Amino acid sequence: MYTKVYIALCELGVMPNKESTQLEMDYKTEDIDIEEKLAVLNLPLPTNLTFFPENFDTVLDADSFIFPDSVSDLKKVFRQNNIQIGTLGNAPVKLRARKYADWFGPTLFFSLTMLAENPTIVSISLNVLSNYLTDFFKESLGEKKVHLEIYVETKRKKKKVTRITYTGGIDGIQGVEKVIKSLKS
Amino acid sequence: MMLAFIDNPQLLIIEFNDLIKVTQRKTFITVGIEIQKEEIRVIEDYRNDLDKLKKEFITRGLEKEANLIFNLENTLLSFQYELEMLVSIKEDDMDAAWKHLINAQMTIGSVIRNQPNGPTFLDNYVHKLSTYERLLFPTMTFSSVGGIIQESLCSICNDEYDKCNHIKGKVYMGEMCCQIIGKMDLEEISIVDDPANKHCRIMTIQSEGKTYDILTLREQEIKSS
Repeated sequence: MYTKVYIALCELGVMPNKESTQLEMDYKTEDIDIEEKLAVLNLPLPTNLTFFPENFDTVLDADSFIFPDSVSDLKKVFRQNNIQIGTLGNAPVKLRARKYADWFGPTLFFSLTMLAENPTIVSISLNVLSNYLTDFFKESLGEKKVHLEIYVETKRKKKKVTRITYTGGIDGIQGVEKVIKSLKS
Repeated sequence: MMLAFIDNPQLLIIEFNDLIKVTQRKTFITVGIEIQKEEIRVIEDYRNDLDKLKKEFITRGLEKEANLIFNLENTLLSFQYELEMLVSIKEDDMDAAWKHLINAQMTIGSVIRNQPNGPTFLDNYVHKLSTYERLLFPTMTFSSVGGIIQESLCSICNDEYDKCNHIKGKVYMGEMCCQIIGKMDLEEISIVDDPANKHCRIMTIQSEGKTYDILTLREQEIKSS
C-alpha cells in the first residue's frame, strides 16, 4: 500500500558499501544428567516445550531461578505462533537484563514425548526464533552474535539430556536442527 | 491541510518524499548553519502536523495508517537529529553532537524494525550514519549494565511487561512499545566495545593527574563537590 514511501531516501542515500562480517558458528554438544538436579529442586521432567533457567546448573532451589529477559518476548512470539511454552518451576519468573549488543537467549528444552508427538516442533520453534531475531537485528549493521542453549531429551529410561550450546549468527540457528536430528540416529 | 491526507495517504507520501529530498540536500557539513537551523524548525513543524494527523487516524481506529505516520515522523526525527549533530559540531559542542548522532541511529532503527514491507530501503541512510560515527568521532569505549529486573511495565498497556502481548520495539496504533524497567538490582557494569546503548560511553581519560575529554582532548576542570 505504501511502498513508495522511502524511495527518495533510497535514491539519495550514500555509502552503500555494507559491512559484512560473517560470524563463526559454534555448536557444542554434551550429555548431561538433569534427573538428579530436578529431584533436588523437587520438580518433574517437563513433558512440554519449556524454558530452563540460565542458572540451572548451580541453583539450589526453584525460587532462585533466573532467566534471561529475552524470555518475555519469546513467550509472546511463541504464543502468537500457537506454540505452547512454559518456564521451569512455579515461582514468579526472575529475569536478568543485559545491555549488550549480543543477544542472550533462554535454554529451550525439548522433551522426548513432545518430539514423538510433534516431529516438526524443533523445526517450527527454531524457525520462529530465527524470524524473531532477524526482525530484532533488522537495523543493525554487521552480524550480531546469538547465544543459545537447547536441551534435548534423548534416552527416556536414563533421562539423559543432550545440551547443545550455540554461539554465532542468526543463520546458524537452523543448523541446530541438524545437530538434534543427528542425535536421534 | 493534513486532514486531506486521511482520504488519500498516497498524497502524503508524495509530499513526504519531496520534503526529505530537500532536507537531505541540507545534511552536508558545508551547508550554512543558519540554513540547517531553519531546516530543523521546518522538520519540527511538519512533525507536529504529522502528529495531529496520526491522532486523527487513531481516533478512527486506522492502525496501519497510524503506524505509517509513526514511521514518517521518526524518519524525519532522525534527519532532525542528523542536522542537530552537524550544528553541534559547528558550535563546538561535541558531546551534544555525539548524542544527536546516536539518537539519529536509534530513531531510524525503530523505523526499520517497523517497515511493513521487509526490505530495508533505509539501509543506505543507516550506513551514512555509521560512516559519520567512524569518520567524525574517535573510537569509543562504552559501559554496559546487567541486573535482575524487579519491576517492568509495558508502555502500551501499562501491564506487567512479562504478562501482556506487546513486544518492545514494535509499533501499535502509532506508538512504539517500550519495556519500562522501573526497578533493577544491579549485578555488573562492564566495559564493552559494542554496547546496546551507545549513549553509555566513557567520557574522560586521565593522564599524569589530569582529566581530558575523550572527544575534544581538552583538559577538564575537576569540579569540587
